[in-house]
Amino acid sequence: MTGQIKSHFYVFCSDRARNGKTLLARLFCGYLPNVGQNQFHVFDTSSPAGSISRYFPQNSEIIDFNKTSGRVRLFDTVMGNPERNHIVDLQSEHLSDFFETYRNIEFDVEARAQGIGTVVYYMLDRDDKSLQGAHDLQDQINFAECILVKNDQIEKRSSYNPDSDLAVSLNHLRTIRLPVLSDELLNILEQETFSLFDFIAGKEADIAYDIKLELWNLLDFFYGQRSPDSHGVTHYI
Amino acid sequence: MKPTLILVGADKGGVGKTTTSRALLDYMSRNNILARAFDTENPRGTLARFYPGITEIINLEEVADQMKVLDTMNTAAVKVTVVDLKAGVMSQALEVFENIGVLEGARNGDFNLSLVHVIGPSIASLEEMEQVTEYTKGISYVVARNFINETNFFEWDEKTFKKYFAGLSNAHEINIPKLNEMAYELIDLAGVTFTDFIANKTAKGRDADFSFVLRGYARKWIRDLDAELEQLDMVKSLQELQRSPEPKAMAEAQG
Repeated sequence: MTGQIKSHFYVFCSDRARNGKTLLARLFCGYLPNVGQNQFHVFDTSSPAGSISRYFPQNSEIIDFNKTSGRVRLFDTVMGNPERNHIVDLQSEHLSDFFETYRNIEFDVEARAQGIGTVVYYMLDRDDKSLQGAHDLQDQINFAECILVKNDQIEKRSSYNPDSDLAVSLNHLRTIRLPVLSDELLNILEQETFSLFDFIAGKEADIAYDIKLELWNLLDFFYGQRSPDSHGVTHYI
Repeated sequence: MKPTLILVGADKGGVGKTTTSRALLDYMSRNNILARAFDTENPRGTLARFYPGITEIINLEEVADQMKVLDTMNTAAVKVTVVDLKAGVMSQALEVFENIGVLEGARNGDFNLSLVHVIGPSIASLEEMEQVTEYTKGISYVVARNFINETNFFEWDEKTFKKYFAGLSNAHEINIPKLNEMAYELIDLAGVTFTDFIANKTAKGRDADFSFVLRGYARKWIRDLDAELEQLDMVKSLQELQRSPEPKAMAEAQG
């Protein structure tokens, strides 16, 4: 049934808000032009104001996932454009609806048949409930690759037991880390005018040297975590 | 093999009778069970729009049309007959069928007769169940609770429904699950069967461009509906009429 994978559908999600999900999606999308991937498309589910779309206005659209029309727009766009990568920055409030729709319409089966691979980045929060969310997510996705993301800033205050049965049941998943960032760097990353692509290309001159260094270290660490997934595919992070 | 007559009706309008008839015909088509249909919504015929090849529009008040349905059951090559009764005529049709001996024939086992009574969540619908009990003795009586377009209805009061349902000794209950409104409307607008919509085909069998997501919703709905229908003895008995899959012959027979 499966042919060659032509593109990927990347989902950035969590059961909780404000734990670095959009930052992670931004770092991901910001890196794509550096590897010649200019034709990616981002779905911003933070309707109506938008969030990640502010950083990639040419490559993104805001979707109201509460509405059927928004769901149709999102999944039909992906299926109708199997040659390009798609990224979803999923608001935590839509997590369960998103994957219920995903399962009901048998998205991953059909996507796989079209040569679209699905990769889900799940941002772990600080407690067992979030671990349970990651555990439950695996029942919803058949062929998708699930990658856990631990935000060191959140991990510092985590309350779950890493030796619990629940935590151990997730050990087989690939896990990556988002390191703690200084407030100064976060402020710069928050600016809509800031472009990772320009920074990597050496065009962002108006940044203090120590912040530049921190950002280079972050990128080096972050993208250095790349390794092949269970299908042998190496993703951008 | 005894012929089977399935009456789909309700006295209340807008509860989903034709949708239920379409769902039954769709089930039979997918399971290679040949069926013919009569649409009593004279002269327009909503069911006929979706199944033009196997549906005839009739006026059940006309004796000639009653004969078309009943006198041909034994001789027709297709052994399953579905009659979609238009709103308001169910009680009247049952009375006529009682008077001319159709219900008696079914009770004597001359043929299988099922009444699929589609109800919405209103007291008027529930009272209909009481009104038809005198006709449903000795025949298969199915109460189909229609949730497919539930947005038009207020919430079901389960307690009230159970009270009415408990008074029916021989009734079987099924739920027609909810289908996403946009998917439902698009299928309706396109005038295609549920199966064709899922397969992304037009009514003429050409490739269509229906939404992947809406087709996915319809596929899930069909699966859930099949699970409901397959609980029914009426549907189990239809399995005996199942033909070995011969897609070309099937398509020809179904027009």
